[in-house]
Amino acid sequence: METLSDSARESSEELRWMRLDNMAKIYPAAKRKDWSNVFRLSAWLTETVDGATLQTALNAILPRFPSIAVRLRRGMFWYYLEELPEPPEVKADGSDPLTHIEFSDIRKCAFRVVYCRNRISVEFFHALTDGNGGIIFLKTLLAEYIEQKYGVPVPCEHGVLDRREAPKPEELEDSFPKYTNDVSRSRWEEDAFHMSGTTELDNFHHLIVGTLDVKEALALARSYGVTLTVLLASVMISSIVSIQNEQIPRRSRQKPVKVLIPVNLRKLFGSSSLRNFVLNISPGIDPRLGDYSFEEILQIVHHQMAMEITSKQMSSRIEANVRFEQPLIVKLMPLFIKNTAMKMVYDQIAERKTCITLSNLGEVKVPDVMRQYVEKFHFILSVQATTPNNCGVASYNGKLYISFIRKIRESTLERNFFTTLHKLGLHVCVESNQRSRNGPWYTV
Amino acid sequence: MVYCVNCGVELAPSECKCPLCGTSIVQADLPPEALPFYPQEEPRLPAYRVERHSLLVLLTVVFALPIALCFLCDFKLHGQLEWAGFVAACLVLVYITVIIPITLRPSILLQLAIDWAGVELLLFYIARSLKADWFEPFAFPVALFPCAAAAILILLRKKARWSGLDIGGLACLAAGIYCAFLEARINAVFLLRNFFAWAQYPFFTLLAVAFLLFVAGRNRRIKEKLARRFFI
Repeated sequence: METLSDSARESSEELRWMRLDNMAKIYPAAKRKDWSNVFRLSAWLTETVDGATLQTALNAILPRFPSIAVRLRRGMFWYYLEELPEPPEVKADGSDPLTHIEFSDIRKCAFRVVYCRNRISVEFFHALTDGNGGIIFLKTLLAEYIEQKYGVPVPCEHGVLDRREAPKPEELEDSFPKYTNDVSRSRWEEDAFHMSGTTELDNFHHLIVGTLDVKEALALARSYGVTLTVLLASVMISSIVSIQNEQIPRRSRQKPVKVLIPVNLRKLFGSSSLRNFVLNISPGIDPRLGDYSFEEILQIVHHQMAMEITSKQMSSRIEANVRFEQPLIVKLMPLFIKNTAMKMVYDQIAERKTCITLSNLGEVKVPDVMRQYVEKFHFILSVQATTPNNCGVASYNGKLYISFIRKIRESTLERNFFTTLHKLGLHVCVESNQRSRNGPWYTV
Repeated sequence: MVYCVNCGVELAPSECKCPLCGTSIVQADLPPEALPFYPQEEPRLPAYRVERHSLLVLLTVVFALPIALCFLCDFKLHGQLEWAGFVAACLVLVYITVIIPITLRPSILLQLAIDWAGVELLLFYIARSLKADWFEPFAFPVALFPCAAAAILILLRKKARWSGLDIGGLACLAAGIYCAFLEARINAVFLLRNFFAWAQYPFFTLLAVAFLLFVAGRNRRIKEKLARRFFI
């Protein structure tokens, strides 16, 4: 069953406001006073970033992205996105990424552009877009920056949009209602193992980025007969199983270990929306059934993902999500009641079903002329409300960048993960934002 | 290239120790000018805040104790409720108008509605206790007028974005009308007189002030002069 989304009709006029897409509706409701769902995309250039040029580049491209150049507003029944009255200011980056954005700031501008030395980063509130939409924004920003700074014209290819052309209606549509099914799928899942640790007193976010060679990693994955995402997910599962075995040695008390993997639905359904269009799957194992070898984990994850990532399965899951917002009584429910209900659902369901999110953005391609100016890309997810770790993956120019973020002191997961990759024969180089000075904040 | 002797992974030049296991780097030939991955900042001080809900519970107990004590004393001395109700009602009103905004910080309109309800309930209680009949014709509208006017002014400021001078002018006009309304109700309910004895003075004064504020709000030069003289 296909339905035409309202935002597609609205985009033919000058767009002043738009509704949240189906997936985005949960994010404003799920926020907490010290957490909101944001993610960061960073590009490292070959030279120091010029703040003034970056600002003018941002000002130039914003009209091309009316679904991103917005702020969050509160309606009687739903939140909505409203056009920004003026471009936001680019700011200097801090010592840790994805510091909390106050909800009052999201209501002024739902994304921010920061820079530091040769790095440009954009942080998006997840209600605007997902990683695939965000990377297009970042690439277009970089292309405009390079054109202005160096006078080099950058062709509009490989995800770089022409800022001079009008936004296309299909980029602004909420694609979810368009690809539903008649059958809704149950969303019930068993609770997963929950990692924990010692939270930093000042809410500092630790970032560790591991750099690998893409060809080596792909060769390893092919040797096992799986994809790179399956390989990384399996290594993640294996790492978390080790942690659970240390913390809960008694097998009968252990819980399933599952990794949440967002799936880009644009490839399945041919959508070119710049808004959210992903669905999450959660492959994993149940350690209560016994010890798993790494090859077993690989096969389980590989087959689970293959079964889930089909257009029919995804359509039925979309239907389950879209069906929730369709009844009239839900539409007419005041927003504060909806927020309370959605927050309860989020707290009970969302983060309890998986241990961590592993989001693979895939290969970031840029026009050839940009390659000499851009060194690397990082994709960093924020920690979740209760889950202290998260992981984003992106590859560029033959290098794979795996970014771990955590709000706890213990780096056990990252250590297990990267040493496992190292033992599998991959060369890993790690860098981090660890603090060089000790103080009263870090002693037990 | 530098490697962690514990994990076996390569460490970027910016690392002074392994971020995975904390092992210090043993090799001495590090590039000294390697820039850190992210800028190093002073640790942020944790914000020690008083939990508002705990404070609310504490203050509720602080208010509840004298109320309970008053009831006890009144019953002990007179065998029935004579004066304790008035004390309790006043304490409850103070609690609603002072403690609730400090601890719960509701929106200003909600707080205004709560304050209005508190005042009306206090007046209603006093009228019922004294077996008086002035609540409906006098107390209710007299308490309702300023709260309704304040709510309208707040909405005009927040939603319609009226300027401060216009809001001030409207507030003065509302205050002038309120004075006339107050004397009219007093005259009607308590059968004092059938003309305005004092309300016209504040009414015309406030009307003149409102007019001046409206004019100033529409004149850019006057606005600038006022800002220059009265900025803080």
